[in-house]
Amino acid sequence: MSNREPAPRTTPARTTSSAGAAAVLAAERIVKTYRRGWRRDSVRVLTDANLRLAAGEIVGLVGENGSGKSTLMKILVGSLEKDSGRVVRHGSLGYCPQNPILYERLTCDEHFELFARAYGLELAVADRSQQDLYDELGFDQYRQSRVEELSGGTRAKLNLGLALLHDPDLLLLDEPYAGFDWDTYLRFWELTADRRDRGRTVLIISHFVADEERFDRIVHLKNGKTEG
Amino acid sequence: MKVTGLLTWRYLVDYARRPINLVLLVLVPIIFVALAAGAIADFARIVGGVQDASQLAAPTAGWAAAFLAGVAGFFHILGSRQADLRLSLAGMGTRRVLAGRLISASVLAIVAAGAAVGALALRTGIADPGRVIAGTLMFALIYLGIGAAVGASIHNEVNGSLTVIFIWMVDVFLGPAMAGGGVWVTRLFPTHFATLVMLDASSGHAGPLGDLGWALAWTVGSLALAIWLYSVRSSTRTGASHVKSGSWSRLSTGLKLGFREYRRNIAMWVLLVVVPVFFISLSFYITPDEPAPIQLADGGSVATRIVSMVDLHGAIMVPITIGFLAGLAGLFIVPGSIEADARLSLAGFRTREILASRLGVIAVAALLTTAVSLVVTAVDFSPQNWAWFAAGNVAVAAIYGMVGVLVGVVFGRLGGLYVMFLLPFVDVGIAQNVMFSAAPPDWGAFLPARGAVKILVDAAFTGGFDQAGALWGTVAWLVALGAANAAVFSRIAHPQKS
Repeated sequence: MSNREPAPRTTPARTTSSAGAAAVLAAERIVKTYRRGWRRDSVRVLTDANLRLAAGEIVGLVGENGSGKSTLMKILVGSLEKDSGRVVRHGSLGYCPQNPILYERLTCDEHFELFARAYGLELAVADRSQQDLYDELGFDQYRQSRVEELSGGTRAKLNLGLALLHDPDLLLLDEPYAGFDWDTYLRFWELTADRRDRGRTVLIISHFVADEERFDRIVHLKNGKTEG
Repeated sequence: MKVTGLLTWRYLVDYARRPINLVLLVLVPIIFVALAAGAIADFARIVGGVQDASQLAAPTAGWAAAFLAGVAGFFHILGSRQADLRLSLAGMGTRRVLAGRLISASVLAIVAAGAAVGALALRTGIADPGRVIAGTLMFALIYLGIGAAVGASIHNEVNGSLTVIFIWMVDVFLGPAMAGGGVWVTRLFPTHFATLVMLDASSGHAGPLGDLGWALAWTVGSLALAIWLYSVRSSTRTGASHVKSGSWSRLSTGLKLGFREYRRNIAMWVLLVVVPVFFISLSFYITPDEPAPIQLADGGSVATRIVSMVDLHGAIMVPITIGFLAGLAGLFIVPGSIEADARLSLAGFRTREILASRLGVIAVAALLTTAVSLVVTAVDFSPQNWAWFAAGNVAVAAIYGMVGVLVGVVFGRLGGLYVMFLLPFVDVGIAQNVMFSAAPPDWGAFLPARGAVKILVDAAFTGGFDQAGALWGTVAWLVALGAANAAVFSRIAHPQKS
């Protein structure tokens, strides 16, 4: 285990809403109900979720298991349809899903190549960014390995790396460090703090109480509503 | 004993809660027995199997029971190995866990045999109930052992399922009920002797053990193999003191990496080589050279001609093989990566680019499948009109490649595997099969391969082209399936409802 300490924050923690700042993302009155099983039973997950993210902040989204954190994040990303409400986003988006969504038989390099095309990155920029991510997250030795050959932790690194590749204005990360070792966990926070200092916005779903002091602001999701 | 009973019950509940198991339990007896028994009996009689048509339907119950029991045995062992190990380590003990698995698996084999015999009784009636019930049970137990042995040896559920299906297909299609059993290699198939027992036909090559003795030896042997493999795997693990735990550039990149991902699927390559050789070459090899009537259009008129059964069987096995392989290609290429494609879409790829990439890979896979099958065919048979024979087969490949995509999206990769085995079997193998009578059955006109098979059968035995109607029908199916595939891909670019 490393003795390195977590990177210090460059701005103090804030517990108040940043409603006054220019919003990179604004979500208002989000409602979502799932219908499950043969009888289409209703499960109301979100009843009134509101969120406003300003440039240059790291926000934690916390709540109990099944409280709807991942559902809210998928709605913010645009991969899940909401029943009602409004989401407005500005700038480029990077999304890291909770479970690594990857192509089993493609290598790490090939994933970066594919996503670089998707983001419309120039080759030189993509190569530099890709190498930085390999170095920062420490999985350069696996660049030629197929996903099916990777450990859970390395898959998680690639999963996160794909979200960071184009240095997006807004990062939505759903428990991105599950499976990371301690060193990688610390590097992840350094990397996140660095992006925040460069004006990027990061929303992270987290379960860890120990993470709370790393966030500039924390939003609680309880009974389908956001608090804080 | 009480604990073993509880284990057995929990294992059965676990089986019943997998929806695909229940679907197969209903569908397989319906398709193999109720729907296909008559047609298969005709087919086997024509190809040279046993002559008594009333007896010929009996093995269909065995086939259905074998399929169900093989699948049940496979999943019973595969999906639970880790959990069983944990239970064993927690204090349950390997012997009790093994006993629970054995009893519950045997119950499943009995249920499978019961469903199959019930369907046969409804469809054709049963002349010799004792023989049919005992025979069906032997089929079920043999395949229970095979399925469990595969489950203990192959860790991947798709590859293991393919292995069980492949063994079953070779065993059934080339076994004594279909091909007479005269060729020595078919005597090595698992249910060769059990089929002869069910048909009440003496093989003449069973030696002192007799047909029944060999059938029972296969039954006991396959179960013993499964138990041995399961025990070896369990004891190896329990022996340890603890468990260790730009649009064009996007399109070209999508195509390039899509094909790269496809070609890295080793199971597909194995199938691509093994299935055509086994199915097409063996069908030429084992079919007796007898005359067969067939309706052909030539020079604007339809006439019944007599051709060699060897050529007819070989020609029809080509699209069956291609339909099966292309369907699997569609199934493996798209549904397994649909979530990742959706992520790619969020990242910036356009829907049409993903669609074109994926369909491009399916097209390559379909052409490759067709090319391999035609090369294998060319060794034994030369169609009168190669171009249209190839075109008809390419159409079958394209149709089932796209059907594979749709089936995969609806049923998932694993459930879709079983559906994609059944669909080409029913469509190309039964509904379009001109071996049953000179012309295919009327109900087959509503299935997608009708036009394409008409074109290729016509091309196999006539030099001209007289199937314009069939061609338009095929084009209509291709357009409809292309539109359905496009709809599937457009969905991934939109937010999901749940």
